[in-house]
Amino acid sequence: MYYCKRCNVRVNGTNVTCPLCKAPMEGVAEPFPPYPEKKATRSKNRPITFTGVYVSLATLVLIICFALNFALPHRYIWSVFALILVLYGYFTLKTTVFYKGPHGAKVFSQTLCLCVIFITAQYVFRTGEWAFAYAIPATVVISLALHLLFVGVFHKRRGNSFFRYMWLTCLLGALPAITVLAGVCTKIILPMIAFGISMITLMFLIAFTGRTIADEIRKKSHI
Amino acid sequence: MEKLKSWHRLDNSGKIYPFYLKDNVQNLFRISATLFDDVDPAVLETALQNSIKRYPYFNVCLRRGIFWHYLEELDGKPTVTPDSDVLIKDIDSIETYGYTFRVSYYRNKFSIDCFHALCDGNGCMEFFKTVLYEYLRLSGQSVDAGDKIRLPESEPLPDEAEDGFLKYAEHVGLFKMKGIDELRGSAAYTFDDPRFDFKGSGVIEGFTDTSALLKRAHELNTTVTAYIGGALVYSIYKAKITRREGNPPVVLFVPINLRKIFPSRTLLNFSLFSRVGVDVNGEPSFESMVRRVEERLKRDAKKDVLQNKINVTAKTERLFLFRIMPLPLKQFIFKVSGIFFGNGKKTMTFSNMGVVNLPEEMKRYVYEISIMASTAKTSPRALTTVSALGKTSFTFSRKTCDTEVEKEFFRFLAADGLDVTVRSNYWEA
Repeated sequence: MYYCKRCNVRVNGTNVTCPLCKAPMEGVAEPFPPYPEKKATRSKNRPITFTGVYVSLATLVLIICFALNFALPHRYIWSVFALILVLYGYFTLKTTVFYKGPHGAKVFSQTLCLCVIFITAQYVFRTGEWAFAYAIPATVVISLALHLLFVGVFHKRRGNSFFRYMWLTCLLGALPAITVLAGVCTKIILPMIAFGISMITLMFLIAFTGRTIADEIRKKSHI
Repeated sequence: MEKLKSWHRLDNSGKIYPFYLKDNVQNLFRISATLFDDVDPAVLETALQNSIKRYPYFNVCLRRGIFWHYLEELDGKPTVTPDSDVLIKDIDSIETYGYTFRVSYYRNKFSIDCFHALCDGNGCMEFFKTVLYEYLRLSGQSVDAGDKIRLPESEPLPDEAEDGFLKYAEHVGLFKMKGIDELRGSAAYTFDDPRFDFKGSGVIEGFTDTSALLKRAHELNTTVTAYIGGALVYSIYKAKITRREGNPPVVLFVPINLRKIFPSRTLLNFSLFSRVGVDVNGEPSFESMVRRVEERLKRDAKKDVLQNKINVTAKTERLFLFRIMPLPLKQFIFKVSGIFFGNGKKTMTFSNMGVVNLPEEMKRYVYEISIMASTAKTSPRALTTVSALGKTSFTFSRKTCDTEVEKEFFRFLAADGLDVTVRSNYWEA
């Protein structure tokens, strides 16, 4: 054990300087330090992150896109779509690539993001009603299939979370049908098929996971 | 079909801590025990997994709801990890499989780092003692727990998970409540030293003989808490206060364990802070500082004062408008209220856990016990003390490079006749 004459204290450890006054001490070192030894490299509080780089690059790209869009003769404001794509990239990083939560959440967030992209593309490029008629119903059906696949694979580990997000995806399946009923979309086959599949899945979920979901709602919304 | 996972609400006081997670502030504390022999990680893990059954309210993970955070039961088994060089580092729920505490080991020492939303130091200490007892028992030592340890095989008691604040809160009208001014406080001296550029805390721990410390406090006709508090303010004064006049007061936040005044067996959060402000203008003496700390602590530990504070704390949670507010909005309100009630209104936190009693047979295997609190950039320094096995530990954790306060504090104790041993993680080096 070391002794610091200046501070009049004994010092544990292997370091030869006093932790209080930084002066050299008398005595002998102990066989090991009292805390795990400091690693050579220490992480900075604000390291350069992938997200940080992405945001910087995306901002630059967006500025160029908006400048080109408005500087050149244009029929569409396509730079809005570029903005949506950049946001999609950001949300994908946050909610899918670097997200450490359940896979169900990742599938749902991708479904939701893709639906937003399709709707934006349809309106920005004024290209009929393909988003409501084909793209969104197909995405919802594929998403439900993915959910079911993952439930089979990860059921024991993350079952509850899949059911939770499956519920939300089923509700999203009603969106194309609502557009048909509202007269926004005139093609009815695929939206109605997606709606049917969603509602059948929803009924099965209510039948088999009703208590789970009721409990989820209670937990999530307790005041 | 999966079984429904049980869940429970956070206790009144515990609800506050998760609000600051978004700002990367985790209020953690660490309880460590140094044994005479090296820790066997496999045995420690088994001891932990046996002990957690006795403490179902610790076998949980923190989840976000629409209006409040809540705790959900976990299926998994907690594991132990080697201690990091970054002491009391943030708990990554992925690494801990969702648990809001972490058990780690380093040579002959093992520690529990616990998130304050789960429990306070007293609650965690009970869990810690059970793990320690089970570890020694599984290591083949003959230990008798007596009535000082909750055995892993015993049944959890229902009142161990009660919300003490809601139990003792009185129904008082919003405009008739007293004690709101007490919570607000005024400006305090704050440390403006440069902070570390990298993660982690600088730690300097000191140990001294408990009986000698007690004797010295009695000579001054005061309590150990007031003596240490006085010494701390005196050290801050000596190290940091350069002007003779115009200094804001040094304000210590001292937690008061409410279990002593409002009987409760709860293991959840059940403590309140006393705001101890000490004037450092002129040339104050150490004795005058001790008297001031003692006087403030006595005043704030009175039952009626604490009752008012409990009423205010419980009332805030019960306000219907506040309850139906979505979580992000609550988070924003807490952030703003932090400016008025917390940040800039305190110099540092000083927590004295008091005496930890271990059964006689266990004392043969445990060398020392210490406790440490995490710090934030806005409140960069904390001192925690605990007395066990005849030694009192003083643990300074800090986010600043400077160690002047610690130097003055330990030099003062040594000059006051106490035999002091210190150690550091030399984070500033």
